[in-house]
Amino acid sequence: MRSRRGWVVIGLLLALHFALHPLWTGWPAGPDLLIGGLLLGSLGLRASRAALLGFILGLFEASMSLGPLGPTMLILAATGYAGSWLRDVFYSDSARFIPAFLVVGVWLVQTLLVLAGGAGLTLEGALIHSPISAGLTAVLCWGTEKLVAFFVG
Amino acid sequence: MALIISMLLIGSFASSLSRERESQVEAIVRATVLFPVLQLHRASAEQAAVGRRAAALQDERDSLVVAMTRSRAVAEQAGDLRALAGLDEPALGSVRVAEVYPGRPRVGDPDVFVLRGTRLADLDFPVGVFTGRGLVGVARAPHGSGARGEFWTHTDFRVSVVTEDGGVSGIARSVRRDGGQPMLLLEGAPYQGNIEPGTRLVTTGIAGVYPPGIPIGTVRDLASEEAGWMKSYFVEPAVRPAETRVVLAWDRPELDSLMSIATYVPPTFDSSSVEATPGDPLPADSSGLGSVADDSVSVRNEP
Repeated sequence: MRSRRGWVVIGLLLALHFALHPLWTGWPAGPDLLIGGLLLGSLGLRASRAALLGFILGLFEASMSLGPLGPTMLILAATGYAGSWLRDVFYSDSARFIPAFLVVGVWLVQTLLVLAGGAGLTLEGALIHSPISAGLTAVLCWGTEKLVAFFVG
Repeated sequence: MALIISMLLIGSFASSLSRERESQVEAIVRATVLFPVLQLHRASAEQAAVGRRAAALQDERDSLVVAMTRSRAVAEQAGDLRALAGLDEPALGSVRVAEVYPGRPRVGDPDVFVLRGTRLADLDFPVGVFTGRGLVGVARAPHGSGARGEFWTHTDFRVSVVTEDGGVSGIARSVRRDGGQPMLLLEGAPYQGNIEPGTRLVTTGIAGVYPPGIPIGTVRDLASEEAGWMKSYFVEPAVRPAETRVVLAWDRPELDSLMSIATYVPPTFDSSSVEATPGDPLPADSSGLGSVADDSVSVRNEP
């Protein structure tokens, strides 16, 4: 993920997230490209820098969605840090590692963000919407990577 | 490590901010870094709204074509009947099309509006403003090349109304009911009379501010009764200000000619007094339009 192509993928994911934000929020279980991009980015950064990336993205995300500022920044910073740390712990050459990492990561972070927002976690949200969202995120990240690979090489 | 500690401190500080302070920080980010993205969202939302509006306008146009076809036939029939009854053509004046801009709810007065259109400033104010569905309000004065006025929701708004069958009349004004939602209140209805819920009310045209026969709403239920004197009714308005975009401002005729038209003539026909077989010419006073009381003063209904 440290390659130029990897950063193009992450940049594209983040740009898509913010550009299509109204579209995603209109769906009950839309993909979360912000967390997807952050998790992918954290695999290629040192822990402190990944945390900083999460911190800044948290500021943008809270400002965009008018959510709780501090908790969003802290959770996404922790996500970046944890993603970078887990890379060292679980690093695998398996092609299934990154999709599984994305699905579990997005699911967990979304659950934490809902809890931090104080909206109340519903069983439906935690067990249906969030896993669907995590799956969609993984699929879109994979699709974006293939697309970039096709054009950028 | 210093970076991590800094982020923890800033994050904790941000978590302790009040909602207002959080909003200020978020507003700064939205006005700077996220500004291009938000502009993109706004542009796409406007584009989508224009598309929806175009579809709605097309539906509106289609229904107008149907309504115009029907009303043309009704107008021809009315003309025939007036000719049979020996009545003059009604001088109802004309209308001017205008776009309505309501006051902003928070920083302005939502019960007033500004009209934009051509030749509005030379109207003979005050004049009624309405749509095909009913009365919207009253234009009070010129405003640049347009006009300014009040929706029916305004506290100063009053209109003389009558039930469609002409049985009961009164004055309608706005009230706040149902959690602040404005609606109309019909006052001064006679105590002996009774208006059934669902009865449609139209303008009488008295005083020449509003043209006669414009729907203002339907009676919902009894509001109050003052023993032996009068009753009040809540009226569901025909038009909500939020629904109006294009309106018609009445360009009323000269008062002299206005006096010669009926205020509001309900369609009545006393079949018991008429005996006729198909093909017979109509008797002199069986047109259902009442009788001519005077050569030029008014036409009154005499059921």
